[in-house]
Amino acid sequence: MKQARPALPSEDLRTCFQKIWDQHVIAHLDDKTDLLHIDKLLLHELTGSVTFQQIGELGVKAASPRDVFSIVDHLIATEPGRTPEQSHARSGSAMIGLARKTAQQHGFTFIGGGDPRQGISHVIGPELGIALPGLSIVCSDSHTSTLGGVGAMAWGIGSTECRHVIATQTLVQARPKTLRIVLEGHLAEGVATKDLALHLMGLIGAKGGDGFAIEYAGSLVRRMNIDERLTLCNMTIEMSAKYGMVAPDDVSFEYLAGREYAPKERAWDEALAHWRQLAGHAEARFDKECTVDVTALQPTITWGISPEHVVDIDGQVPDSPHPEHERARRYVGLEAGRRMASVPIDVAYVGSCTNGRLDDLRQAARVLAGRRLAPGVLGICVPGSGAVKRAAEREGIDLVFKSAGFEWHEPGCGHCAYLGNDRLRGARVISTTNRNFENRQGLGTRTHLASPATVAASAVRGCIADPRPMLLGG
Amino acid sequence: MEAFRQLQGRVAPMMLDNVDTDQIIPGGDIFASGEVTRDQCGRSLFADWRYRADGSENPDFILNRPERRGATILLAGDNFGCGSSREWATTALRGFGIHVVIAAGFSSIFFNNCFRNGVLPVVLPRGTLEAIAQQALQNPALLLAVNLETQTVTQSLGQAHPFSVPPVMRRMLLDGADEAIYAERHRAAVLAFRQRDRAERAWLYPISLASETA
Repeated sequence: MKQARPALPSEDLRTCFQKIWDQHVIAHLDDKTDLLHIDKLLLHELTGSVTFQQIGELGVKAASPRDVFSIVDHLIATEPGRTPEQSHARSGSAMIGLARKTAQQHGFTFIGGGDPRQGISHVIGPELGIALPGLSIVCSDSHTSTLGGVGAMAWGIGSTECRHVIATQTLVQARPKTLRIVLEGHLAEGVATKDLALHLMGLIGAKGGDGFAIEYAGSLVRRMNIDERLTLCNMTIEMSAKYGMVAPDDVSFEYLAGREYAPKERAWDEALAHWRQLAGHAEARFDKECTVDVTALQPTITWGISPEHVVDIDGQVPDSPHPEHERARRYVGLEAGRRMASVPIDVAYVGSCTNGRLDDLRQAARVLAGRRLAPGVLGICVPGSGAVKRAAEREGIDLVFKSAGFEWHEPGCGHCAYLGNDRLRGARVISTTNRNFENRQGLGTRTHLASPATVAASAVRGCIADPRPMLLGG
Repeated sequence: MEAFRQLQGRVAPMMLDNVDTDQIIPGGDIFASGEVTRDQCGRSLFADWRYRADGSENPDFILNRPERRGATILLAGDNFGCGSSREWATTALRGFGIHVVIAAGFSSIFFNNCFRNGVLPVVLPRGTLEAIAQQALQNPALLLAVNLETQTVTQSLGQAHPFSVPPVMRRMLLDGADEAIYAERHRAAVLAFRQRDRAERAWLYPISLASETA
């Protein structure tokens, strides 16, 4: 790492993240902890249920109801024809009802099953312009880091912390260190941002980001569209870094212009002027930095029970004697040395806050076009939002999925985690989701994380498969 | 909020790394009954590891071993509590009877949730943890003392190990204080911030708020 030169008096050598953090500090509470102003709060009906119960029991009055968004995504059923409060979880309907009533009572914006805007919190947050550059945004969900993709400072918190945000619009938080990950080069054909995110998991590890706020930079990031940036920031929490962001630029501004909750007209011009100053100094100092050239990256998948258990698509289950790896091999039922690209799969799942956006569905559709699911494979696609679903239908993507034999669902979190639906129990699933923990998608399920194209190719082959032959005209 | 000052208790060593919150409290259990009281959560702690498919207890799981019953301190490896932000993970630990988790490291969201639920998260160096775990495995009756006031973990023969938690969190847990006190204490600064923000980021506020007082 090069030696930092001393700053000139007039220079601001802060990183983007540091600028945004500093702009939100109300008071320093100790040398590590600040009292922060929170611009927006997102809640979903699952972890939000604890918050709603607390504010009911304690008689909490909301400091700024217009800044609280209550979204239904986790427990709502996704099957076609689902009704707004339908759920596979025994108390799911009650939790959705509680979210709706609490929002009504306090004046929160409620986006539920009957609303055409409904979808996964971290998909509709940017889509609706709720997430904006430079905003401090929290949600009782670890994947809130996703919203950093549009240049917000966004992170996951607990349900009780949410109650405090509702009551005071402030939060007590320890200031993180900063880590810049510079991404250079071009991703090869058939290699997607999800593959890159999984590769980074392997490099940095499941705890490597602990205590850091990560900024993604470099020529590759500047060329990424918003969907790709959101995927990258989404997976950041899997490295135990709560915050992941891409400094806002013209790509971000173009994406956000005209969205429902984005500023308009004169306010838009003023916002733009503010946002253009958020990017960090070119010589900004980070506590840690690393550079990755992505040119040689292959499609990547997980073999085990942690997102850090990654391997190239043409790779093998590792032979390490580490007890954690032994445990993983035992759970997933794959012996050391087993080639990943022969492992049969039962279920192919496309969706989630990681890869449930239009770009992701297009990538899967490119592989599925003119092809069918292998016999015995269940394929499910859950678009991340109503807007994504409708846009996909306008492009005929739904027909590609359905002709291939996939189910085409209503928006929601679906099968990302076990949420009361036993359908995937015991199955080996290849999935565009973000976690492959034991029993994550159901009791005894074995999850392999992958890109949308890899999931689609595997669905067609009936086993884990490299998407490139199919994409390159195979 | 529940206070914690000090505790002397028996130890359950679970020296695994990357124990995620899906394991600490599996998804299905959270909303199976619709009741997420502390007791309910306690019954769901590590449910997929603790119970067999037929619902009976798995006798090999550390918390089910007869000599570990009543343990109030859990020992763990690095990155404990990673994954989902579900606060039920801390409620489940507390509901089961675990007041302290001593680990080589914690994932940040889980760490923060601990303080709001009367669970003290302590970080000690791995070498120290392995030594304590070894002792606890050999002698399940051994007691460990954890003192948040002095920020010390003391073994039964007197070996003392210092730890530190962020001062603000430490104060909150010692006093059983709600974090709303910070917004209260800094009321003037909160109001000043809002006024300033409405001028500096006027684009973020609807015009109708211009005449509102904070």
